[in-house]
Amino acid sequence: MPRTIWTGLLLGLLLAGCRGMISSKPPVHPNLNMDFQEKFEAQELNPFFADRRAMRPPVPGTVPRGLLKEDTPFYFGKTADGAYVERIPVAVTPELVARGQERYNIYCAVCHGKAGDGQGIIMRGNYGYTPAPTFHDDRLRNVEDGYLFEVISNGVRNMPAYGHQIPVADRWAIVAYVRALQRSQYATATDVPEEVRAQLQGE
Amino acid sequence: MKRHLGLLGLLVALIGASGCRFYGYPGGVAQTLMQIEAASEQAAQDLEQALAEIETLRQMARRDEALAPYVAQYESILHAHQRAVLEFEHWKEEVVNHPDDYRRANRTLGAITARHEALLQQYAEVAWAVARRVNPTLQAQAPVAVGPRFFFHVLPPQYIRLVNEQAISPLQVVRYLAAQLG
Repeated sequence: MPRTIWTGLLLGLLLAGCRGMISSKPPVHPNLNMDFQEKFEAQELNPFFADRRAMRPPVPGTVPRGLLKEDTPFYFGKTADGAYVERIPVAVTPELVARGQERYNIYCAVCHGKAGDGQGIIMRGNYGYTPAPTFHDDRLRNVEDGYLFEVISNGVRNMPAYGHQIPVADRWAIVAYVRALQRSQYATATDVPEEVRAQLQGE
Repeated sequence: MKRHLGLLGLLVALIGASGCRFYGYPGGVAQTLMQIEAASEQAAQDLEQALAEIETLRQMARRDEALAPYVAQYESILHAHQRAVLEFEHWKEEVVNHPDDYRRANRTLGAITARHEALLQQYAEVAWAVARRVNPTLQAQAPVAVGPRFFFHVLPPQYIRLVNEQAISPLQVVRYLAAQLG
């Protein structure tokens, strides 16, 4: 008799370790002591409040230590008197533009298209969205850099804000990349550096 | 009771066997060995650079007495570096002598890179302390620490890494300073 008990125990343990099982139920964890701890982490359920969220939004107007945002051109794309900044307030390097390209292709290209012509995958599928404008018309080519930053941060008309998910520095990187995209559509031979032009003509 | 013990042993063996993972792969040690050789060679090259650095630092200290403690500090790191380079050779031989022991190879590679990084960090601390003393304006070119976590939503750490990649190497700071001073 004890042999049956031991074999049963052994089989049970082995089966509990099987990961190949497909089940729609939560898997069996024999020891749940510390799996779900009596504290809340970010994005967890909190039954105490009406909205049952563990993350409590801060009171409007609070300022975190180290985030005073005194540098208004950098944080808001506006000068102290509220006008949009003409030029990007950070140094534009090839690395910044490369980072901007990466971020643009993640967040922006779905609607605005990788070429910036407003032909992203969402716009080509007849889903009933308001068409995204092309970046290559005169209005957007001549607009201030700060305006583009403002649109990313807070949205405009039918476009939602992206400020809550794109860091401030990345927003400027995206602006730099959009500027590069705009330049690409209106490039002339004189924009190409001498040595590269010779290469292009050679081919 | 005896049978129970046997079953218990079987259980332990089963659990033990199911917990076994093989992290290496055939021929993996040879590849790791190549990386180990590259890492220890880099450490030896950096030792030569550090020797050139300390020579410059001694020359600077001859003119400015306040730099003497920094020379002593630099020397002690240099001694640790010399010992480390010898030890790396020894560790490398151990890996060569155990061609089937991939765990030893991985551990050795990790130990060499970690110790090398720590030495570079120590050099950097002394060198930038000298820079602070000699020419405070150069401090702007020192590598920047990644800011607090809450600041990541303003400046992701990737940007700081990019800036630091272009900073002066810790083993060239003193010579760069000397060149700046003329």
